[in-house]
Amino acid sequence: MSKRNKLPLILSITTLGFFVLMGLFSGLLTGRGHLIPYTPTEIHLNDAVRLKPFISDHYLGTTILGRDIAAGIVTGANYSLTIGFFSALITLIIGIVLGIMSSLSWRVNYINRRLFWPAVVLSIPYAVVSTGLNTGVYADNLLDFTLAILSATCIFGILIFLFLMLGSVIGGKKTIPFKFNTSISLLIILLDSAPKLLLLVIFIGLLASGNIITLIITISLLSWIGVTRMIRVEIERQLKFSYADAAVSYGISVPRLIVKHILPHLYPTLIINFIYTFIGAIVSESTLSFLFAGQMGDNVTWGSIIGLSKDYPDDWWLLVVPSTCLVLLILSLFTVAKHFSDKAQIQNQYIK
Amino acid sequence: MNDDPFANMVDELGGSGSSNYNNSSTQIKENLYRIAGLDKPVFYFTFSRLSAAKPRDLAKLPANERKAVENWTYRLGNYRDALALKQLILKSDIPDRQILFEVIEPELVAQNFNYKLSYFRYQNFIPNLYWNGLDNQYHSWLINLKQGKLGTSFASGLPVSTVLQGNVWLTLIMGIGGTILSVLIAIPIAIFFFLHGNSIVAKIIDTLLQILVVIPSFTMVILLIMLFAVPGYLPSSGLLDPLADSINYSMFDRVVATLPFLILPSIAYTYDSIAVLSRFINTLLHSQREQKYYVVGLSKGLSIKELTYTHLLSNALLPLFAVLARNFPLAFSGSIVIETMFNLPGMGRLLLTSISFNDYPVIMACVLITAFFSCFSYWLANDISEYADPRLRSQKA
Repeated sequence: MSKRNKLPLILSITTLGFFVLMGLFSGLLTGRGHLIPYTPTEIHLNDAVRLKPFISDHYLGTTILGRDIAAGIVTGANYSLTIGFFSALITLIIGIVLGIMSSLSWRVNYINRRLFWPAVVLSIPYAVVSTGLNTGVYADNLLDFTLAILSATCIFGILIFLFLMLGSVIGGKKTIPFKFNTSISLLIILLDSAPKLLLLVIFIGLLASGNIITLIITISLLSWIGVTRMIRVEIERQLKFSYADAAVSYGISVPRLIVKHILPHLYPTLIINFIYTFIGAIVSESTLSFLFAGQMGDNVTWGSIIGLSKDYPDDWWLLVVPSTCLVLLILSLFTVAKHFSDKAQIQNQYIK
Repeated sequence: MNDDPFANMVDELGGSGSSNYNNSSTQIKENLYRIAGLDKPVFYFTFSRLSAAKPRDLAKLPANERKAVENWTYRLGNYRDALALKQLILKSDIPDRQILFEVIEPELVAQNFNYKLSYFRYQNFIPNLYWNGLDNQYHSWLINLKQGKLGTSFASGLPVSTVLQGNVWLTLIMGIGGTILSVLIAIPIAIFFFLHGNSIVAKIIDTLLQILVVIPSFTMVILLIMLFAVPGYLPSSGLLDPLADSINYSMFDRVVATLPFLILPSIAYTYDSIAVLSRFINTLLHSQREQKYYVVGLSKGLSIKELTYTHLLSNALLPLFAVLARNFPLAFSGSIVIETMFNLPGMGRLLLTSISFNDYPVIMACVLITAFFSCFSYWLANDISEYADPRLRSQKA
């Protein structure tokens, strides 16, 4: 690789490192006597300080309540990066487990294909609102929230399965073998039939909670689809190579082959998926805090600062400062992801 | 916001906010719940950690009692005790007994009434499955749907189909129109990249598109409003000037008058799909260069430009249908931000307002429509690409 190609990568890693350090040490940076002498939720209501671009020690301006934007940016970085990192991690774990499981095939039952789409269309709204209803009651109890979402997911699957079984009872001739793979792809198509952001807006809107763990769980339970699909495709592709055949002829079992020999080959794919989920989570989180600014607790995030500029479109710094941070963060993540996808391409040329 | 769609309504009916616990307002609330069908269990079965509590019975209690009983059940791990405490409170003639429902420690309440608790806590940790029967919310929703009814909106009291009628069309038209528009703009850009990829203009456009991909849509919307609407170049709110609305316009004039209102929303709808699609079509065109017919065409003396327009384009665009089918449902989620910000009467804005009112029937209907159109577009894409590419048909057979 030539020297010119590496400059964007170095720049983006530097930017990323800057934001990560900012997020990690957000507690040390803000507050009285620190680099930024304000906390993000501190209110200053005198007109000399309110809604001003850059004055004395408010380095990046203030909001209508006189809150310091620089402090908000620092804690917002913490909030965004935490949500992005942990939801990407959970998504990756779910994706790897389901991807491996779906690339193995266990024959379970026979189902009807004709009723599939009606089943999907009919069960989605129920699942959404039932989760909303269940979690609305238990919004303050984390265990119950998780249980509600998990049970809603179980119910999705069971509902679809019931519909399809009904079809085979009524008398469709066209049946397909119901493998574990099929059940996961059913779940994938089910969650795919409504856009992720729409479901997220409904869940979080009904919950009206800015609780960081709630957000992480919701985002990661909605975004494992792409990762699972990608890993399944990659594993199936690798299983066709001659090294996999050779390993099988030596007597290794397929699950062991996948875990021991195929997964290490997938690491660029895994990292790319991790980064893309990271980006998706950050964008979803800031969209949510933009839409529900003020309703999701007292958290100051990049999205909620941008949300303030809805009502004050003349005051450009409310938009420009957090948006620049958001765009820089996403851009640098994209650049790192592109580096790994180039690496994966080079690596793929040598696997046989 | 709270999880109770009727809280405001009952407050208005029952007087001031503090009278929430009056018998009359509780009665009104129960009646409203019964009319809306919210007293029924949600689904055919319930999966609950409140192991000893039957969710079916729990759902029938008025909100404040239900919350208390739930809290106490968590504390005690025992539903029977919690229920007994509730009965004791209701039977007692303490003047402000309703305050006792807000006491978090059930032990204190028990002490108050000399009730002996049976400390039976292990049940807290066993999730239980309850069969609720056919008399549940989902079943009645399904039966109503079979008869073509979507229910009644809690917020406006109108049938959901009436509420939706005015809103679905705009979102659909913007979605379909936005998809077509972005393809129409992306194809020329992609061809320009393909033919003059190394020129300075192409590199500048490429960098610009790269930045456009990264900008989130809500930032873009406010940026557009700041740059074009605040100085007064373009209108940014609603669909038609309220002054113009009062004049007796013909249909054509009405459409012409609406057009300026749609410029900013359509930019917001299409900017990122233009960026993604033009790069995607460019790679598709490049992948066609490895095909044999490309070499044959060159050796027959066709220029690259001629080849691109006559042969490459029609072959390269075949996988585009699948991508467009995946992009189309995103119009529904994108519409939430765009319609709210530009104040357009569409489904996204309706969804957001009904979320803030906890208007479940409308939310259900919105998701149903979204799911329907997403599945329809996936199916359509499958069919169109089979129709357009005979090779797929022969593969299947």
